[in-house]
Amino acid sequence: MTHTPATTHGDSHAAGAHHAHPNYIAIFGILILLTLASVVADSVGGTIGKVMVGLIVLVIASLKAMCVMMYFMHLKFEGAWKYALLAPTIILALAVPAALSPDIAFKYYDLQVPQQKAKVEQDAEHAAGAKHPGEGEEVKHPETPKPAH
Amino acid sequence: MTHGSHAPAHSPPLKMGVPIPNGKLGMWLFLGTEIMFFTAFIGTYIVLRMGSDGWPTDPNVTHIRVALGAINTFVLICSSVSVVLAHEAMGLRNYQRATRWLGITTVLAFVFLGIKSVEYAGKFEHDILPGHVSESQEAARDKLYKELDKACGATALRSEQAKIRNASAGGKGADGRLAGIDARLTELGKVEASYGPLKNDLKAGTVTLLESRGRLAALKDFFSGHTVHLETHDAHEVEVIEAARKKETEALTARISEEDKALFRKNYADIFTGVHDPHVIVYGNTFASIYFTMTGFHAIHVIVGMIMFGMLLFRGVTNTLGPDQELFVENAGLYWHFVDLVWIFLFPMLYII
Repeated sequence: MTHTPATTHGDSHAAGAHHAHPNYIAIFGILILLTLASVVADSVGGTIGKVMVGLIVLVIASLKAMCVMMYFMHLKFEGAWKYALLAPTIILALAVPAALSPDIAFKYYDLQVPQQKAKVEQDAEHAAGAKHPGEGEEVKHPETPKPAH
Repeated sequence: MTHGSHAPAHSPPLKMGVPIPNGKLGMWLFLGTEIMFFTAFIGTYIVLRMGSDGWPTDPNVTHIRVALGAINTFVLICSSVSVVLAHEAMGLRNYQRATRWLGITTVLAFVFLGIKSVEYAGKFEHDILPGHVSESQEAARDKLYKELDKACGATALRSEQAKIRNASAGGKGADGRLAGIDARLTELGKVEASYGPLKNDLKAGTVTLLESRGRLAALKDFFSGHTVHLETHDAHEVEVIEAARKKETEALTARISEEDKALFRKNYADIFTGVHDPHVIVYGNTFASIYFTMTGFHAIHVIVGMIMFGMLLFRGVTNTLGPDQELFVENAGLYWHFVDLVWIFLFPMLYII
């Protein structure tokens, strides 16, 4: 509050924001290459499996995030205050997924939701379609469709 | 905060806390809360996704286009570079160059939102909206029945007719209005009768979803006068749908006179616009909810950024940009990089995985 505008600017220069600035165009190139890499990973998804693609694109996203934070947001050139400010934030941010993880990791109840029935219906339809092409749809749905009203 | 008044006039100003301007500290603290805000969404998405066996991932079903997402990623990265160059120009006191880079950033933000709205329009067109998606065959047929019921407006007109009759029996203007409605209903009755059999079959439950898709397509063909494109990707499905479509077309041709057909094509060609090709997307509603929540909040952040750049751009254009705005540009830049950062994670999570 006691800073005059002039000292404020002096501080920002002292922190090195302008003295050591990175080659932004090189960072830009890296980010574009990483984006292309995730698109390529998606297009070859059939050969390496869905889990692998998921891992690759998330690692790429983390690398891109690091580039943006370090160089565009100048965190690489900031003082130690960055740790004091960001550490609690990151701990609290991770707390939510951590608190939710039992819901992800443990299937402690049977899922009896209508969607499961619909999925079974759909899978049966595809299986029947592949086996007996040309047959009427009634064959695939032993249960009579229920009235709409 | 009162140190200044107690300190001798010649001593250097006392520094408190972190060695950065208050505004920048404020922006970083705000971004800290933003990180937590978006992480909560991401955590929620993971739980919903992992807990829903059969989550829709097929782009033909979700209408998620990886190419559009990748282009938008590219656009945001470009805008991050342009805002960082604007800040650099501010530091060099080259305000013309800063204005130019700020202008480019704003244009790129518009491009991002433009592409986003193309994607949103696709979701609306296919009715992939929270609460609108059918998650079972029964629900899909039910939805088709309701949409057909509303198609030509006869149902709404009939309830209006009943309302007038009840409210103003013998009233002065009522007779004239009722006569108008009667005349209109005579014509609409013919239109309604054309898809009456399909509605009845849906109500009685004597038509399967695939057959109803074919029959609806036949109706659309008949009214519009050209063959309507149907999105089907399964050879067996196509066979069932096309058989039902052919049968319905034949029935319509036999049942409806040439005179009525000409009337339908002239006045009612787009009557089925609000009637969607019925289809099932298991967990489609949850998918639509989380998709619109995450991308929607991100888009709001983009708009807020555009307001900040707009304010700076106004100063740039009116030549009032000066050293006092350097911190503003830096803070707007930090915020904008964060918006880019969020998209960097949303793109793989919503478009690829």
